[in-house]
Amino acid sequence: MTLPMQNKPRTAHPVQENPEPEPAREAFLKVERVSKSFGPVQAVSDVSLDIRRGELFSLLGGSGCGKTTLLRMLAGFETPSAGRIYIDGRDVTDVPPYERPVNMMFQSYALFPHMSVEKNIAYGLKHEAMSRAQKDERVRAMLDLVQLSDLGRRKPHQISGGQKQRVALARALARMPKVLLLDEPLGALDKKLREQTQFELSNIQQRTGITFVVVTHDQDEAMTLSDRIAVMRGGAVQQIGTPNEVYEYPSSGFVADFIGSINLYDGSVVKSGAATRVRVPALGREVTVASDKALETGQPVQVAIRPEKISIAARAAPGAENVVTGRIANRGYFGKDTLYRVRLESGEILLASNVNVARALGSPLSRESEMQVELSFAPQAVVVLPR
Amino acid sequence: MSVQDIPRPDLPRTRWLRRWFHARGWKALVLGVPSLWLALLFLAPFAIVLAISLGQAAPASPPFRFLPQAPFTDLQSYRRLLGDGMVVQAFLTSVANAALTTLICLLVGYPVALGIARARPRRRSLLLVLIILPFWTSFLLRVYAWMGLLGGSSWFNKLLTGLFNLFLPADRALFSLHLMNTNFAVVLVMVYSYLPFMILPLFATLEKLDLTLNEAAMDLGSRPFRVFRDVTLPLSLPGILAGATLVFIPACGELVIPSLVGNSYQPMIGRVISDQFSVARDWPMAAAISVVLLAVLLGLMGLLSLLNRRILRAEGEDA
Repeated sequence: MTLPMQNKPRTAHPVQENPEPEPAREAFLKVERVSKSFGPVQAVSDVSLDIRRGELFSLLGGSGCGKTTLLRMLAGFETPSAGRIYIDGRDVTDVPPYERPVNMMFQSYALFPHMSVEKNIAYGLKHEAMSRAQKDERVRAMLDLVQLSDLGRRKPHQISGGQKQRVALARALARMPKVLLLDEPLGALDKKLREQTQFELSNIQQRTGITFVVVTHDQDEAMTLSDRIAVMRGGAVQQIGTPNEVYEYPSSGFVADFIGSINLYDGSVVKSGAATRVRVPALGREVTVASDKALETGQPVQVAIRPEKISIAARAAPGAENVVTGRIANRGYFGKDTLYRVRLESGEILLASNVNVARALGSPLSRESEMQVELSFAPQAVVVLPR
Repeated sequence: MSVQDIPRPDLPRTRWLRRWFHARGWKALVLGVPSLWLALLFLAPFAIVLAISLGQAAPASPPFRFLPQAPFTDLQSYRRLLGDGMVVQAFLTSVANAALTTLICLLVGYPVALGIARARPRRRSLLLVLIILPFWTSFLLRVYAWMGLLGGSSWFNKLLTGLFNLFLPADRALFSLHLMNTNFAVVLVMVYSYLPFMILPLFATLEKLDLTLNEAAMDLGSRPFRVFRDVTLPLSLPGILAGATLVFIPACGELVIPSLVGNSYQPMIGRVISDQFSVARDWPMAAAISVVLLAVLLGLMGLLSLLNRRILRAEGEDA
């Protein structure tokens, strides 16, 4: 499905068609060793990013990790203390916001309260060399895109939160920017609406072909939306990768812990090589791991195991590897799965989740308190991280 | 079983009263006190003024009487008022002076209010104190100070004269500028006196504006001045209207400033009322002028509040 406005000539920042089969590898939005400090506070330190054309890229991190400051520097509201920013090969570091080929969707939406929905969307077109009819058509196309065709004449206070979010998106897209910046785009929506809007957002991104940079603190949102994620902490980028890479191959304990839930224990390498073994005091045993990293005997490491990769049963299956025993401390029933907090003999807590495949009102596992269980996990399930 | 649950024959009534008080009482109290205040100190005196305006001047004490055969139907003071060119002229002068004062206050006050609203919080409170500081001196004293400044022998007048003479041929040079007892002086001192009443409501409105809206406008391609025109100015209209009301209305009825720095051949309406009361001892006439002034101001204020309500509704803040 294509958008009508994609065919329009004389747009400010026309959507570029992919000239070569594989041009996506080149950096379209390049952030080069950018730092920003506010007085003594270092908000962003030495961040470099290569964001590709047409990519949906997320900046993920907790509050105060510098993600919003970085986004504001991309929009031009803040000037980097050091480093350069390039968009489509042009150095825009010192270009003011009103001259950047970039638009932003604000967290608070920042809709103009004294203008109708249509006027809001048309606002950015004021400065474009377009005829009145072209502008009207663009506004119409935008309203269609976000499915608000009937609400054009309403004022922002007359529409719901979800509708405001769409208007904000339409307004930011109306100028067909080279890069669209989204600051917590779904943050103000309730859960149901958020899930629904997530898919709509990535759908719109694919249809328009515009490069999206999304700031979010919500790891689920980042996982479902993004082509790639940059996990940030303390003003620096911890890891950049696809959702799959970041989830399954976290580069540090922080990333492993931030994305999803994980069991993270200290250990030391006992035997390196083909069947690497790591002694983990918390688990009270040596664990067989399949690590692609070069590990030395005696090296201190962290092992990380996702709860869903641990099988939990009264008796472990025969031949199961890495079996530990414990007692169920509490259960969290989420419908689709159940999360068990198991107290190990060492006193440590291990999280294990079990998908509720069978439709049943409780198994012994989900009833008996303090039940003794055996947990096991495959060597491939373990992530070994340097400590 | 709690104390409240013990049945007592007289309880329902007290409980009803208590419930009423909790639900409505506070609201009634909060609205009642100012209503009472207005009724006693505005409506009742105004009724008296209205009554006097329907009487006839008489050499008596108090100096008016009512027609014995048809009391309160005598409109002769209103007829005289409309036929009196001096009174009509004074009305026009007042409205013109007040309008000019309001406009100048707005042009001077808006940048000041915007500057304060955008200043850092600590500096902001300091600047606000500076705006309010003149109120710590007597209003009368400040007007007297202006009389000194405007007088022909003051350094202020000499400075202005010197600047003025730069643009005149040497043989036409003035010895001093005639500033005292002019309409210019009246407007100047009124602007000086009423400026804070323009700045403060403007500041209150501008301070509340969401700066993200400015960023959004800038992000959508507007340069800073355009952002001001498209976002800040329209959103601050309620503040402009509030400030304009607070300046225009008292300026219209201003008595002290035109009496002290104005002249007697271009009087403002306040001075005419005062003269009718105390010099001419024509209370019905003075009362009639007051009633007309009030009607004019009420009409203008009604217009302004109508405008204000429309703007607020347009911005989606209607109650």
